[in-house]
Amino acid sequence: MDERLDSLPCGFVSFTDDGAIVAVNQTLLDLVGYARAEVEGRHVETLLSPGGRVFYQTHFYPLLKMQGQIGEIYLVLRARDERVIPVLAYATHREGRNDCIFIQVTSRERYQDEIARARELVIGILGHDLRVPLTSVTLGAETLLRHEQLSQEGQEIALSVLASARRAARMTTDLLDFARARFAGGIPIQPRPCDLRQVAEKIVAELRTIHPHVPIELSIEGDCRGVWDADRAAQVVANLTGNAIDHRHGETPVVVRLLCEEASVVLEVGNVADTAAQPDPDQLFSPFRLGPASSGLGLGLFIVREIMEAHGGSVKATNAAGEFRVRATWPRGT
Amino acid sequence: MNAADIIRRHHVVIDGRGTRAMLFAHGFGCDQSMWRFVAPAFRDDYKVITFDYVGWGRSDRSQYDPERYRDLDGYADDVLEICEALELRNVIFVGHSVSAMVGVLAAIREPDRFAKLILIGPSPRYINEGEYVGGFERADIEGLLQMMDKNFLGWAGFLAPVVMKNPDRPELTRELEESFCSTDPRVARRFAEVTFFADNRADLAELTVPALVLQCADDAIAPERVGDFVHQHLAGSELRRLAATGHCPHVSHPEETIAAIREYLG
Repeated sequence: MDERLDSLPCGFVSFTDDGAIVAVNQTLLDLVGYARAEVEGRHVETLLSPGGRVFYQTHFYPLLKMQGQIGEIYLVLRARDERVIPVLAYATHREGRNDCIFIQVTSRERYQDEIARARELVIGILGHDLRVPLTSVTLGAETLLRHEQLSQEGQEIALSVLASARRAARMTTDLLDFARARFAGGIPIQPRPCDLRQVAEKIVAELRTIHPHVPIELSIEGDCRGVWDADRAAQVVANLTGNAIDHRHGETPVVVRLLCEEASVVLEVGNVADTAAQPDPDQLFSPFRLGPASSGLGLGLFIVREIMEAHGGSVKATNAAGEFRVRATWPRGT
Repeated sequence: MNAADIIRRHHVVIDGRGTRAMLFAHGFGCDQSMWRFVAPAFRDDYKVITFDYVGWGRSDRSQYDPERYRDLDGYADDVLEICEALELRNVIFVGHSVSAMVGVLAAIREPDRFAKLILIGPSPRYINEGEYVGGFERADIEGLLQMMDKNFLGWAGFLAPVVMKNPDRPELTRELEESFCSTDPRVARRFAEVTFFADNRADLAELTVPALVLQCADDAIAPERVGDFVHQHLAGSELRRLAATGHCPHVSHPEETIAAIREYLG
């Protein structure tokens, strides 16, 4: 072997399609503690941990063979003395030969483990630890408001406590959804038979109570029954309508249309765009994008997109001739 | 669900000029693209059908139901529903790895649907237990699950679409723009647990459909002893040892795999 290849600052191994090791450099031998004669001709799996062998057979090798190359794969090597060594592997496949390098990632792995723990902690705090006190603040304020002897000042304070607690609860929920979407593989949905007509009517009625001065025009066409996650659909209606309320121009109305057709259900929410802010439709769905009139964390539209994608659907925004519209499409489940 | 929904749910692909159905079921780790070196060889004589389980490839991922897929029976339901949707009879079922057991479970439930099963690297139990040698300790599987977590959720490069120049095989380049084996990480993680902690040894005795066990040499996932166990417990099965090594002969040694299947089908 070329002397420079032998002393490369990363492990190198070349093996046949049968997995037989043809060449291995000194760096790798030093890492795993084998002598050259002990591994040459042996299966490349000799160098892997048992879990690593399964991963190699089920993911690494098939992908390498089909794509011709593969990179940034986390594998665990097993040294002669059974020590485990985390590495990142990069490999190319050509004419029946596979060339692979291993880069040790021991300290990087510690960092990654810390991130993973931090994610779990954040999801735990948002999902439970913060919700419990917020719920009791909300319930407390609601109980106070029902007291007949409460003074005018007391009423105002209780109302403001209630509004703040609800806002904090909404932000907590949004952050939890964000954390799940980003770190836990997506927002979980539980599709069940439901009627999106009822969902839209309920949410719009709630928003009308909260925003009595905002005209919200709701129209619904067709049979809106199907198999979706109704709670998540409610979130989509609430987020899109809430967004339209925040960003409408002056006192213009918000238009909510639900079109239930044979192949899909389309929710369209439109408002006359605030001329001061002309959002780029493509950027809108990125997280933490705060417009001047946003009332939350800038996660609403991001969460809408995640929910729609989890349903196998889609969401698109258009901004034409001063009219801003978002269309969310649910495909029919059955 | 009607037939069209099932076909869409699994991105079922039908090919070939024959009338007899050959249904190829991919194993853990990849989607139907794994069959690309083997399935086309049967196009002239059979109706060749490939599909993705929910969560893999181009399946409809929104249809993933953790309750349905909590064990291999849910996957056997998928196979039977596909057979029903396509009105298949006399099916030759080719299952790799965990799908070999999925095929066994499906054929126990509806034996009349199936003519023959071809089981590539089957294992009814991956974990050692008493006298039984499955090849793995529980800790080994935990190690695999950790590795999957790190690859799916940590390192960005894995399973992302790879666009590359492939001067040797230009016909592949365009196709590569869509990634192979793309997987929903949550589904894959769950499927790994369902697969590697499963114990279907007791089911083997109930199979009445004839089966071929294709056993690779030096298979770390389904060692020869496991292949022997499957063969001994499947009445009316044949065991064929391949010279191919590893766990994916249909990827690494397609010619030998094709020849063995052809010979069995006669």
